[in-house]
Amino acid sequence: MTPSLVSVEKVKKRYGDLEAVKGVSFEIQRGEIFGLLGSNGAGKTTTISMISGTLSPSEGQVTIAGEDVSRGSLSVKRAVGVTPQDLAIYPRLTGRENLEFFGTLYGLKSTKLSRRVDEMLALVGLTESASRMAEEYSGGMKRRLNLAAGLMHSPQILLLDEPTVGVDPQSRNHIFEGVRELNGRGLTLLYTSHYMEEVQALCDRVGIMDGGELVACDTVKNLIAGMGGSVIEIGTDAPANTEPLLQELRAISSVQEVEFIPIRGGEETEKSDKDVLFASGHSPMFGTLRLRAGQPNQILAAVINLLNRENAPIHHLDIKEPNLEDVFLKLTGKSLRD
Amino acid sequence: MILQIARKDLKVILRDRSSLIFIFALPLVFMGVFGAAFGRSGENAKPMVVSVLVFNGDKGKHGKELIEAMRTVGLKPELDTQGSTTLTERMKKGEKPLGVIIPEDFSQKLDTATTNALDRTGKIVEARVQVLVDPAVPQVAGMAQGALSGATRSVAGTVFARQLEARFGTSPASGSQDIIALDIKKTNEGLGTELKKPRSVGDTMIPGLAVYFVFFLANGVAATLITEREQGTLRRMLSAPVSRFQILAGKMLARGLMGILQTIEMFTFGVLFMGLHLSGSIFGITVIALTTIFAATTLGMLIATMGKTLEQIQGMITLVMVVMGLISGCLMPREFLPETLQKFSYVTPHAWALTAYQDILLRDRSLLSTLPNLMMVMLFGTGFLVLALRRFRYE
Repeated sequence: MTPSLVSVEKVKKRYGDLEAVKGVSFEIQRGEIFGLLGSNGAGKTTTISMISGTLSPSEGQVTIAGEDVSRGSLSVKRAVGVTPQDLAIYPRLTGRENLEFFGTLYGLKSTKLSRRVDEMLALVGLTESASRMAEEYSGGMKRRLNLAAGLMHSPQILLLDEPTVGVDPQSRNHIFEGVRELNGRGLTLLYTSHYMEEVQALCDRVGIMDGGELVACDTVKNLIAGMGGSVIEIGTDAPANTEPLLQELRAISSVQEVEFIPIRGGEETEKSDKDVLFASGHSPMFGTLRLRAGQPNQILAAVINLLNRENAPIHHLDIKEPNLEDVFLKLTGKSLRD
Repeated sequence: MILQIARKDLKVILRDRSSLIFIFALPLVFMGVFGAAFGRSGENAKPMVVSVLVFNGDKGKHGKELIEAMRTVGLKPELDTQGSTTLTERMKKGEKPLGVIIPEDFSQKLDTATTNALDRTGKIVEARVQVLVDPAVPQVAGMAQGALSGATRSVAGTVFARQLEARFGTSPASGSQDIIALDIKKTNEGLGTELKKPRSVGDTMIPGLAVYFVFFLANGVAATLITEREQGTLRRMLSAPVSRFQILAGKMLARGLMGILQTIEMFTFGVLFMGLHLSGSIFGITVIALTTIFAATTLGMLIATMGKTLEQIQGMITLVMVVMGLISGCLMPREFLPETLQKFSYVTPHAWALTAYQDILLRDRSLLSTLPNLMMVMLFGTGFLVLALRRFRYE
């Protein structure tokens, strides 16, 4: 087995009494795209900062190609490229000047520098706008320039922290294509995002962080497989007291989970509101009935029959394969966009 | 809606403790410093006291009487017992605005002059006192000189009255006599020679302003570091194979170049429009300017590591710059400040830099002779840099 490129071992980071990262361990293999998922405050950016060497761990160790990052050696710094969540570019410099500056930080000069700048501008689709001030760029263009800046020195691993936040679809596609192309050339990537579909589409393995801890780390396929069956979502008007109906649905063979999520004014209510609604015995309430089952086709007829018996109309019906979002919700109890 | 917005803004303001400190502490500090500096303008204010270096070589008693008389006219004599040569050297360094050398025959000549005057012999004998004036602070020296004249007249009047009483058993209630001559010379000129160049407003003002405004470079240095931290470029730089020292040095260099241009601009303006005489060596002035710029930029670095937002560091910079500018003597002569505040003057790098400029431009001293002052400025700068490096990190 080839040794991992990045090894994060029992890493902790404390700020006074607050423990932002609580003993996280994972490895990133050469050539893979590793996704790091977590809601705001989960500790992703702090973990990335410790990998890039801009923060020192309070405990534990991060190594890149076997070298301790906290020693700040040149070889480690050259091995890592960073595309921070902030737009870490100079607004009053042109796109080209920005890339030239970041290239010089890594010792690139003259022809080699110029060639690399051209190459990176082309990669992120900014060749035409290279001589414009970065402050004149759209949000998406700035993100692309931010990505290019992290790649100027041909790192072994690129740390991409939320690279697609607030970008237009065109820029997102550019970034996606760029990431795939770079990975195709052998670049290892650590990718964090709020957008589950991005991570699911791009990453080979995913680590899920919650409250400073790594609650899961596996391939996307394995994480989803661990969820069990598919999800049936039915938009309906549930009876005033839903509990007997939910009990009967749970009794159907191969049904793993059942829940009813009432919707008030087009918004899903908080869980506490749901409980009140169920208990109060008010008039029917529009909402979504969500069932998880191993073989949805086999239980669909039974479910529809029960709803018909309760005179609960079916407004829509959807069968969804579980995805990373479901995994995240199950492991952390919250949506990633919370 | 206006109220809601105001409420939200108030919450934000109240949660930024550092900014709050500056909002409320800054006026108090300013009031304290300005109050202490200009407090003598009130009704109960104490009169200004100017320190004067005195060497009393007189073998009689009138020298001591003159020193006592100085105390009554707002001078604070500080005795130099080493001799007139030491006093002259100390004066050349600008230690005090005025130096007085009372010669050994002072009492004898004063008595003779008084006798001659009473006897109407027509023989002119003058008791003479040597006065050394620091050309760097002409306003203060001028005031002290006036006071010294008053003291000499008072002593002469007393001697005259005593002789009258001895001869006729009566004396005037009070009086003064002009029989003591003051041999005044500036410490950068020979006694009795013509002034090489008359001092202009530019000569006295530009050194102070040059130091004061160069220290505002600290604002730019601190702001650029905070901005880089806020926009994330600092994090990118720190993740590159670049040391913290290199980052700080690069920033110092850029701002330092701006400081050099600013200094050239101020001196050029001074020469063209304010009558500044660049009598000292341009090389010396350049060295002082570079040293001052070094201290100013490193001070900016240090301040940047102490604040997290632009608002915080701008509050700090305003506090530091105005207070330092005031107590260092850059904005007004130190001697105009109360003695307590004068003691704090040399806690600022400004004061040492100002003295160095004055040495070269006004006291006609060499760069070598003002080197101790420059060393102090360098020491401040190095201290600021070391502290900044220790505190400077991404967090």
